[in-house]
Amino acid sequence: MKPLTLYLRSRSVPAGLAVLLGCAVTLWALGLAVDNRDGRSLLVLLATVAAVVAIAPGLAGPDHDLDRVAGIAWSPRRAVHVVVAAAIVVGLLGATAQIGDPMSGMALIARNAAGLAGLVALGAVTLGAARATLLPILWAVLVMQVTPPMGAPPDRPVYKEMLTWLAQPIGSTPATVTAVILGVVGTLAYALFGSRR
Amino acid sequence: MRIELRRSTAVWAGLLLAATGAFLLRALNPPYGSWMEVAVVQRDMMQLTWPLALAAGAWQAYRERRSRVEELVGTTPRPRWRRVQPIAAAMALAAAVGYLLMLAGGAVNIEDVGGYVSPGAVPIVAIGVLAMVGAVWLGLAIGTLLPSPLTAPLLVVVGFTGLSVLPQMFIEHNREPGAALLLPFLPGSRPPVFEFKVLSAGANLSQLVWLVAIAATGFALFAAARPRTRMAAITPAIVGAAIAIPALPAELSDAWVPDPKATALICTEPPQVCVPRISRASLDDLREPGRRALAILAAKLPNPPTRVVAVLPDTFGRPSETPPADALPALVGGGFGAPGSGIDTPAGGSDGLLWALLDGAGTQPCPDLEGTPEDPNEEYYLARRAAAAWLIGRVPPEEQQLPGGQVKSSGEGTVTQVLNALHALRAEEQQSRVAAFREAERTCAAGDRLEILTGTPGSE
Repeated sequence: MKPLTLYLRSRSVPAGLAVLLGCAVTLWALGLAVDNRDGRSLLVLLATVAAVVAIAPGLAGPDHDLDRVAGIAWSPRRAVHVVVAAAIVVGLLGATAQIGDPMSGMALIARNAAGLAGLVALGAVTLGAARATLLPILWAVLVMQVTPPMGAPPDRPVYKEMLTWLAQPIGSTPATVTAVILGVVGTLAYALFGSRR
Repeated sequence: MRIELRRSTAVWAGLLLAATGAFLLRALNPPYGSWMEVAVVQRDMMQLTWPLALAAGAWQAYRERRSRVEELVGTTPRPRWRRVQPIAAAMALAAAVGYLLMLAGGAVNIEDVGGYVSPGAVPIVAIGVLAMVGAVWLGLAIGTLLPSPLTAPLLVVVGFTGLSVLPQMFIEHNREPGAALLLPFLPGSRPPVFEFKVLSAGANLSQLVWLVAIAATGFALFAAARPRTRMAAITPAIVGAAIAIPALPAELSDAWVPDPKATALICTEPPQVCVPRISRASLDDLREPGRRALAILAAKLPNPPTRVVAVLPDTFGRPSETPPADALPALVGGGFGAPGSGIDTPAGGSDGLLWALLDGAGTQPCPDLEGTPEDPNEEYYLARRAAAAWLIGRVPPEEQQLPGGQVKSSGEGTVTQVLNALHALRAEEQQSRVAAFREAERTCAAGDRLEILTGTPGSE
């Protein structure tokens, strides 16, 4: 138990969890206040982005070299870290969104969280853990303009549907495919290469 | 300063802002009609770029903290507010240049770049630059107070939620209160017919005061070394609010005033074809069909109009007043003209324009008679189309469709039928009926239009 506690602390997981809880509470409070249907699902999306972003700092330890020389098989642990973090986000936000009048479907939250977590992991591999949030934030913010109620996401051609995967309804196959690809590739890349220093 | 630009993230932040903004201006919005429109859309987009600038500031402040030289630098005898000047200046410069680059990116998409540049666009751009500078300074302050790698990304999400999402949920559309002017982005006039409107001087000034106060507070918070000075740093914001809030209009739409220069008519030599200055580009398209329409009306009707005057849609996308008898109205501007009447409908090119001009014997449709968009008064459109067909002397090209584009429902008959019924009358009778129709349409008198054209009143 002790090694796990130490690991979590070294990855500043308590702070990340605090942010996550903050997102859930904010989402719950806004859910009480907003009754516009599209607006509610948009808020869930924003909360998902914020919560997934909170994973990023935990993707690298305080000392890169120390991690590297440790005689530990990092790859599976890194993969587990990302997957568990994404699962916690989905579980907590999903549960919050189901309180009272459901704000958004569980499947939608899972798809978006999976894709975004993959993006964060990819960001950690390419830019380093501290800057890893740049990719998901920029992508999400650019897509927000076409999210209801502000706009309607395009339903063709396929590449546009893939680029706006965050805004697509759950039935959209290209969006699901994009999210899965991002999630898998991101997790794999992070498991293999770890965070850039 | 140059060192600061090289060692900080300022250049990257500016480039990122410019790239994001230019991408949005280019990709997500249709081509712009005028400079004014680009300026306003760019300001409206600040609901997104403003939080990004905030995050850029916060990120830079966090980087300073992370470099772990804070204590070392703190031992130098220069006071903190002097020490932070270069980085604040560098970030401000980056934000301002980023904003202007964004505008340049948007300007590429203006339809008529050499066209009318409204003087109202200048303060809108200037205040936008100011708001961006305020955003990075405020971001620097927040990043210093909350040094965490999560501050910057969460600021984007929170800022975007607060600026863009929540106001939309709680404020009724079209009825934004004047306090919306306090937001760093500028909600365009609603509905967005801001091409020929400018922001009133009062609204510009109160925004200026408020945003200067925000920027001052941001800088002071960033530069303050002690908690007590931080408290004092909030003063400018309070003073700014105290000045700006009483000056705000009651409703946002009051802040937008018409721009007489933009709507001033520019005409060709007689026979005159006139368009508002703002839509100068449409003059070339309008000239030839406009003159043809005038010639046709002069040949077939008594008291024909002598010039084509383009009218701008009012807030409901319709011409606002009864046009004089000597003017042939043509709707320009905005893509939301009444069905079948806009000269924006390029279908059929010059011929299509001619039909649009002569629709309803050269009149604009009357709002009372049009019906609702869900349930258009198809009989009314049929009568208008038939009048145009009589004037031009042939059946419209899209006989199976009504001008609105709906497939004709059975029961009302076709333009051909109405035209045949009209042609069955005596020549003078035809002429007086169409003239009566035009008069009724021009003044928007009540009554069944088909009755005027083909009915059998007692006077026959």
